[in-house]
Amino acid sequence: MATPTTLQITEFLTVLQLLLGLVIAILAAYGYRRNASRPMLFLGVGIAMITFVSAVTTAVSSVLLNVSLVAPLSMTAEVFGMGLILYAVILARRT
Amino acid sequence: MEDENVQLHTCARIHPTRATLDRQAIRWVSELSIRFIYSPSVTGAVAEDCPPDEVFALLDDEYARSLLSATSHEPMTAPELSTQCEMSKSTVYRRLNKLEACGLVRAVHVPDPDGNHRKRYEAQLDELVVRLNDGDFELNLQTTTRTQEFADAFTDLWEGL
Repeated sequence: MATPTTLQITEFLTVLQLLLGLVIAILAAYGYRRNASRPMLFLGVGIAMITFVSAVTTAVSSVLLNVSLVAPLSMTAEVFGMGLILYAVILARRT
Repeated sequence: MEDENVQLHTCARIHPTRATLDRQAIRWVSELSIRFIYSPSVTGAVAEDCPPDEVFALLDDEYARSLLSATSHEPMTAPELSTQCEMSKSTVYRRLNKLEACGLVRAVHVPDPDGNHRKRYEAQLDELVVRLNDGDFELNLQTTTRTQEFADAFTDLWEGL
C-alpha cells in the first residue's frame, strides 16, 4: 500500500477527532441526564461543537459553499463551543 | 436518637475535598485501564445466588444502607468505611460480605498511589426492581453500566472544579 498523502492523513485525523468528540459529548450527556447537572450539558454541547460540529461544518461547507466561507463557519462553531465550555466552568462553581 | 440515624444515613461525604478529587481522578484513570484490560474479572456477583429475603433484610439494616450510600460516591476500603461511618470493623466486614454476596456491592482491586493493592468496595446498585409475579417475588438488580459509571465519574470530575 502506498504511503498516504497528507490530505488522507488530515482526513483520517478529522474523522478521529469527530468520533472522539462524539464519545466525550455522549458521556457528558449521560452525566447530565443521570445527575441532573446543567454544567455537564453545556460542557457536552461545547465539546461537541468544537470537534464534531466543526468537522462536519468544514466538510459540508467545503462541498456546498465558496471556499473562503469554510474557515469562518467552522471557526464560528468552535468559538461558540469554547464559549459554552467557559459557561460550563462558571456554572460548575460550588457556591 | 434521631441524630444517630441522621449520622448513619449521611455518612457519605457529599462535597469531596481537593485531595479526594485528585485521588478520584487517579483512580478513575487507573480503573479505566484496568477495566479495558481485565474487564472479565471486575464484573460483580449477580443477585441470583441471593434470595429476596436476604436482599430485603440487607436493605432494612441501617448499617448496610449507610455502607451502600457511602460507597456509591467513591470506592472505599473497609478501614475507611469504619472510620467514616463510625462502625466497628467487624460490622463493616460482615455487612460488606453479605452485600457482596447479593451483588449490591463490588470489590475492586485498585493500586494505591503508595503502591499497595487494597480492596476497595463500590456500590453496584443502581436500581432494584421488585416485581410480584403470580405470587413469586422477582428481584431485578440493575447495576450501573460501565458507560454510566464513566459518565458519573466525568460529572464528579467536572463538578469538583
